[in-house]
Amino acid sequence: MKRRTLLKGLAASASLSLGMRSTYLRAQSGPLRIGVSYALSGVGAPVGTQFMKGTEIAAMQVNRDGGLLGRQIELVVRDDKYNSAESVAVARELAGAGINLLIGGSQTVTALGLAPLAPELNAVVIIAGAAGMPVTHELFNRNIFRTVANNYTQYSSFGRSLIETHPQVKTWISIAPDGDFGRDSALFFGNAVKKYAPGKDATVLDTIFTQGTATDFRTQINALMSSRAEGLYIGVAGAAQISFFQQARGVGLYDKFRVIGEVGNGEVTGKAMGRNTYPNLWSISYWNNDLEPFKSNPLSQQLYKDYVESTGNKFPPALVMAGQRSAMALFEGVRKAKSSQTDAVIAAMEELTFDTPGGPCSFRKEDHQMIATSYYSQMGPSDTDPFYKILQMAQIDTSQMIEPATPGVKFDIKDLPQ
Amino acid sequence: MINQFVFVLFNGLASGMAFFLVAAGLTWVFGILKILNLAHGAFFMLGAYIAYTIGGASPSSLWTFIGVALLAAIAIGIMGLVTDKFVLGRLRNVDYHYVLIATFGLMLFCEGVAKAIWGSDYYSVMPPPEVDTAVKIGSSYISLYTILVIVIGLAAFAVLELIMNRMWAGKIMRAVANDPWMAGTIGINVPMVLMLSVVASFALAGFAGGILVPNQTLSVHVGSSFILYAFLAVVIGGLGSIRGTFVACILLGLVESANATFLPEYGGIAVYVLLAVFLIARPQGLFPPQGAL
Repeated sequence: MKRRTLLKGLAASASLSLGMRSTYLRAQSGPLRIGVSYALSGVGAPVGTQFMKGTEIAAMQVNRDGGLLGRQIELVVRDDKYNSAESVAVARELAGAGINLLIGGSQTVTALGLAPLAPELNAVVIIAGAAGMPVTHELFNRNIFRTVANNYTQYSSFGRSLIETHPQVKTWISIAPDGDFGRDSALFFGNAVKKYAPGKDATVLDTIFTQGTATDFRTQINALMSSRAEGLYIGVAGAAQISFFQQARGVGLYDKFRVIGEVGNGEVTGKAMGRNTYPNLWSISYWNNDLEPFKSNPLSQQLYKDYVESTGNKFPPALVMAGQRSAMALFEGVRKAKSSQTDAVIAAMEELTFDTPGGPCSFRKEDHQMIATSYYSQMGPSDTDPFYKILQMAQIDTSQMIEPATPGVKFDIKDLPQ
Repeated sequence: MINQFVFVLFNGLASGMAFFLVAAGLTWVFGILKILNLAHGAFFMLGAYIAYTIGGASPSSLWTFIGVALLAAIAIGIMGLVTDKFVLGRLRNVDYHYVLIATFGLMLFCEGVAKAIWGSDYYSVMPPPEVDTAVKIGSSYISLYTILVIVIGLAAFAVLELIMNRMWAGKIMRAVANDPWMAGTIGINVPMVLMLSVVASFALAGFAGGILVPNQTLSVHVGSSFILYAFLAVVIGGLGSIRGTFVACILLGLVESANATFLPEYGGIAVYVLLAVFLIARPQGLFPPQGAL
């Protein structure tokens, strides 16, 4: 090789490497881009938009305190349209844009698309709201972390909470959509009612099934009215649940049942029903700033303040906290890892414990399932705006109610010790 | 068992009348203009929102409730007038594909407008106090509101039948539907009749929205729960036939109710079986109109 050629080569290499270095430095000093994929339109929007607001507040809080790794957080937001295929397309697009940190899956239908994709994209994916069992069982992979309780934990805890607060109610019944989720949630709820009833003397009648998208519940309501049950679990969610209450109220269902637990619509139902909210309606909840233990938690107070400042609304939905907590889990993982690289963040999150408005949270290392306190709220009508109110909160430590970790193995309740 | 049959009968009739209230406007406009209005459910939804906005979540009396539904009908009828002037009127002489695309676009536009005005939250409206209770027949609980829906559905059918078969207005409309060119040559103002038909069809959608909103969660998707059955009824009844649509709605309601009571594990399947049977055995529908309603 000629000396001149060698010098040219060295010069080119040096300039190329300097160029790459400067690009690298520019990228590191820019904002830390985090992908967000929630259902912001379609039938999942009432849930997805609440998650979105919480996630935005989390980013705003971290940015206000100086950012993460010395960089400001930039959320790159996409709408998964409550559609599994769309959630996959969105994740691929975000990964293609160089984003390896993703928060999504505000519902199980979209999480089932996102979860298997995470290793291929080499991304850390926070499954924010999907409680479906497959996420931490047969679909588990090390790239995903779930920041809500799974169905078994959630609905077992719910059944336990309701029978412990209503031991006088001896006969229970469920109405649920005829699908995996509906059948499972009614089963977990009913089993817990029987297991934790004082003296184990509670009876759980056969579940009444309906279609998940049903709009007419008169037949099922008639069956409920004709039953001898005094306690009811409603596994029907979304707009269908509100239609159920509209149709049930007029035939006297409110007078027949002494307590009703519902699947997790929470304030969505309260806001829609207003003064006509069932007076002893219990719901899976995440947050209520006016009641303990949130009232004395500074993180809860700050979240409330930030929510009111950013929206002007003084009545934040509970799911806002779930959205904020999901984002904070990822941010704290990055902070602990001192890196935004996928492997480093995963390793950090597996050992992570962090404070939230609902108390401390951590991840179970084996299946990346978040362990936290589960909250249940009692809702009723009110004469003042917004015409429903949260009367009290009950709580269950989910570490007592969670199934053993079996990542990669399909969950079957028959495998659990009875 | 008798109790179950009584319940199926009441429930089916109530569903059928609810379907008919929505389907009546759909079949009317098809019968005269030969337009399949895909936006019909969207105007039903707007009628429901308007009734909610005027009457609130708890109507103070039965007459207020019906009055509010009539106001919703007027408001949606006016929207029909505007729609006819700017959309449907321009599509009178084009291929029906363009009409389908236009009404589909109109549906998306209405949903967007509703979202912009009322947001994506859910709302609920309760029945008026006079019918916000139930009667017990045997072991079945029958809501008085569903009986009200049955009565209003029957009344709507009677009025439409009266207009179409016993009044000059109906005869003129039938003449226009049968042969618009000939109707024009004998001095009938055909464009005016067509425009009024669109207004009446839209007003029926708005009225149905106001009457049926206590039964369903109010959201931009409220129309979808009824519009599918309305389309099925129009097909089974005979495209454009009000009488056929009425009978088809009752059939659909009864079949759906029986399905939910006796075969709950196969929920929703019976209406599709019914549709398949009709498409094979009587594709022209129950009462195929012979150029008229």
